[in-house]
Amino acid sequence: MMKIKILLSGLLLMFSLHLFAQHDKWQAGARSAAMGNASIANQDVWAGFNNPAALTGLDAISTGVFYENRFLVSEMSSAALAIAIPVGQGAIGINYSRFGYSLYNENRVGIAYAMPLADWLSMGVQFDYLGSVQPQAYGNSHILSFDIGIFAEPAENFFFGAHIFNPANIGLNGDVDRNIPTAMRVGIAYWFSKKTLASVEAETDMNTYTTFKAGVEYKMLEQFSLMAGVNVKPVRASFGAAYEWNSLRLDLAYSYHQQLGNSPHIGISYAF
Amino acid sequence: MHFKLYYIIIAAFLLVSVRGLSQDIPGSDTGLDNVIESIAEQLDAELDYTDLVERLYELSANPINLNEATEDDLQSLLFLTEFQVFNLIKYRDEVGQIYSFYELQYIYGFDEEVSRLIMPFVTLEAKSESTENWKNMFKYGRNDLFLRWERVLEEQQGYIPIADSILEEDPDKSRLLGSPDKLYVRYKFYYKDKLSIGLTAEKDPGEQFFQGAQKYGFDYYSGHFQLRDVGRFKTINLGDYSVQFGQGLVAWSSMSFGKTPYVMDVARKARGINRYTSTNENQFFRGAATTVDLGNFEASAFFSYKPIDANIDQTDTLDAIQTVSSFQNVGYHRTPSEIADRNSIQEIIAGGNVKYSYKNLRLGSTFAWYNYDVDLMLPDQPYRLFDFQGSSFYNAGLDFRWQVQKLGLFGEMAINDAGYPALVAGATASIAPQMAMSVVYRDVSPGYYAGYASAFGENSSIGNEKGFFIGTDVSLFPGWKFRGYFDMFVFPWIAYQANAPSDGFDWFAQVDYQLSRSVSMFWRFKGQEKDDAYTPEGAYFGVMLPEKSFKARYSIDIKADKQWRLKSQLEYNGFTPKPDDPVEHGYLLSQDLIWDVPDMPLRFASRFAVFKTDTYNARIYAYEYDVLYAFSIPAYYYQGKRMYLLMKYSPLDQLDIWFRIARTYYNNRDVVSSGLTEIDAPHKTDVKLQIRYKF
Repeated sequence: MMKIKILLSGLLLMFSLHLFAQHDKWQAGARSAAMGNASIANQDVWAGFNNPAALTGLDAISTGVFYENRFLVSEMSSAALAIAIPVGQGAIGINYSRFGYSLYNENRVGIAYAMPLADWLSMGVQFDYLGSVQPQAYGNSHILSFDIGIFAEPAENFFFGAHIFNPANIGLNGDVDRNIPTAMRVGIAYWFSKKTLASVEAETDMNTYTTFKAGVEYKMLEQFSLMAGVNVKPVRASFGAAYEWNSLRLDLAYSYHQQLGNSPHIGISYAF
Repeated sequence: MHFKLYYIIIAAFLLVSVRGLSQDIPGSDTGLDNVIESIAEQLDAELDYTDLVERLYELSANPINLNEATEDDLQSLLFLTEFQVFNLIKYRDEVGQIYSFYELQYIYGFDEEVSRLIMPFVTLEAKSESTENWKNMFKYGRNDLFLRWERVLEEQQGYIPIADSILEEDPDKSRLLGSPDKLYVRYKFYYKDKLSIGLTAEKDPGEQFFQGAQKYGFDYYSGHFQLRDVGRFKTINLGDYSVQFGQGLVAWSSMSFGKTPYVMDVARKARGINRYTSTNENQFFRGAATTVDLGNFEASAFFSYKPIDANIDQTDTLDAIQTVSSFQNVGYHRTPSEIADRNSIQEIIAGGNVKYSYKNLRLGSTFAWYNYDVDLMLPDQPYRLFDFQGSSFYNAGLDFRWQVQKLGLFGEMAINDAGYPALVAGATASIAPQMAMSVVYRDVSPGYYAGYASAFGENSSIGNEKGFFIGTDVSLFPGWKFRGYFDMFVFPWIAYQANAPSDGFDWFAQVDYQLSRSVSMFWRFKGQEKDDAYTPEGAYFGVMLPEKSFKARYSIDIKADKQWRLKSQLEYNGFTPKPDDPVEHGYLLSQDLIWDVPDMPLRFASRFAVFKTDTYNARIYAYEYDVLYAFSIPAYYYQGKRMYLLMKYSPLDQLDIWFRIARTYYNNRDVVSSGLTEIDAPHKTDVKLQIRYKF
């Protein structure tokens, strides 16, 4: 118990310092988590979090819910909801996520629009409301920001993606002013066969961290997939399994952070 | 240092080319080079790879008939993955007989490279009755004799005679008692793979010969007798032998290695009991052992009794308790103190293994019990808290391997007498036609100790490690291949020179490109971050800070024609001792030239290399060609140049003669090495002569 408390206070300290800078903070989806968050080219309902431009890959209205419990500390859980609606050639995404607990939480609401620029290239823009709530200590802060992604298939089965979060470097205003750095992710993915997807990406805020991620997904059976991923800095390994039943998909993921330990992730998505 | 020799075979076989074997200059193919270099880098040591090379030669002399081979035979080829073995058997069952090597590359999981690689070790004869006959033993039995001499030409400090007056005062003054010559003799009589009798003897530089502590001549003698496949006995071994079972947590006495460029070869394929012919003076068993075949079951038992080296601090004669400050495992007995440690403890090992096989499933159970003739009391330093104390202990473990279609699973869990557990488990899978992956998880408790054991991991010794490895092997385009791995590890308890729990990770990426039949090249990158103790000036306690290294290598190999081969290598090593320190750089550029003299049984291999490294930390290891059964992987450091010439001359079919001379010049040093081997000159020269006679 003592250990958890120490861990928790350490983590909160860390988080309050680099609040919005923490790597893959705004990513969501258990499939992404299982692939080490190397998900810039994942064309699923979670694209709204991982790369809004990839929403163009969806052909039906889809929705998903996600929950994760970082390092098995209940105060550090996060939950997310995603809805994607194909509109003509493009798609609209509506995304909500919440991290934290009653005494400290961070919330994000995003509305994204993705559109094709060419038959191999698409672009997505998302408007974000970001808010942090600390009722006892510092009060509330919030901003409006945006993020932009591009997604391309320059060769068959080969994908490229880039995503910039908060490109204008808009800070957090309110009871406490805080800088929110610009974070950028660039990655590639390749479908080795209809069953096997491998992707790698780099993420940086050009200041406090640069991280490398790699992930792989293998559709072992028609309805059953296995995923794995690794991150360098912080060093982390992740695994997951997915089961698909008609339009319903259940993802279970587990990740291990070298210093902070274990985190479970779960996600359910449904395509109408 | 740990030695689990056979595992190297698995990896080495992967890239051993036909040409590489038909040439007798060992390691003159890039695959073997790669593995050995990679190992040497990891262990920082020149190891004895005799068993590996020997096994390669043996296999090429007694190839396995693919049309008759059982699964175990194919596994013993070792360089085929279990997935490939599985598919090969499946294919053979479908078609009845394999007629051509060209068929192989169409078997799922095979490619042109693999089928080319196994060619020297397999045949495709029709099924036949066994032709082995003990009557033929003396007719077809073969003798093989090796004699080797080597020496450093420059005078080394330890050999300079010391005045008697000084020795009177301090008779144990550190000095090298013997001559700087190294001598090696090996004799073997063998009949196919049925019978093998052999003797290996070695005198290291500085050891005496027929004098002092070595009054019987050589410092080290090793003999073996091995009989294979007699009735129900799979093997009967007397004398020196090695033991490999499971995944190495309980019993694995020969050399092995974990992380290599061969990322799919993470599962250990234990070879059970095998004769020992190497010159490592510690990592073997001496006594008797056997394996009995009982249908689906196989039972092995081993017993070993031999003296080992240890540094005994004090002896309490009343309680017969001895404090052992350290076990010595370098095998040198050159100085008065090394000689004092020699054979100071008697060690008894007894144990066994039971293996059950059913289709593609293997289950095993291994037990090993150790006993020493003294009570071992290690000094009570905190990092040794979990070390073994007392006079006897045991380990027991359960292991499995299972190939399910494209998925291979393996693992072992073990426990020692103190109740501490250890686990190694992993999987390999072919997840797309061009892509395969491997994962290994290990969790070995700080309290887990084992005598002759070595499992997959970052540390060379067993215990106190938790980690996760993931690797992949991808055929990108025709001619292009990518391999890479990422490994993270945690040492939950403190260790020698690590005053806090620590962790780290390393990664590896390599792209191979086969430009044409005669030109191949690769780019290799390796990086590591690992905690290391750092004590700030004036501070009493140190802290753990990550030290970083990054290595990059480009290598190109040109086999221009049957006479000439060129190999160039450019390597960089960047080392950062702790965060914010300046990077220490190291560079090496080398050019190899190999010449087969036409119409003459004569061959030359040579190198010229220049190197510049800021520090010893930024040193670079580079593989060098050497006489058969000897290996050189020297570290290049500081600034200078190095060259060597190796010559092999075979005047008769039965006779081979090798001569090698190597010299390093240092530009910015006046002395080479330190301590007893210090040379008061800016250069060092090694010469080596070897004769092999087969009759």
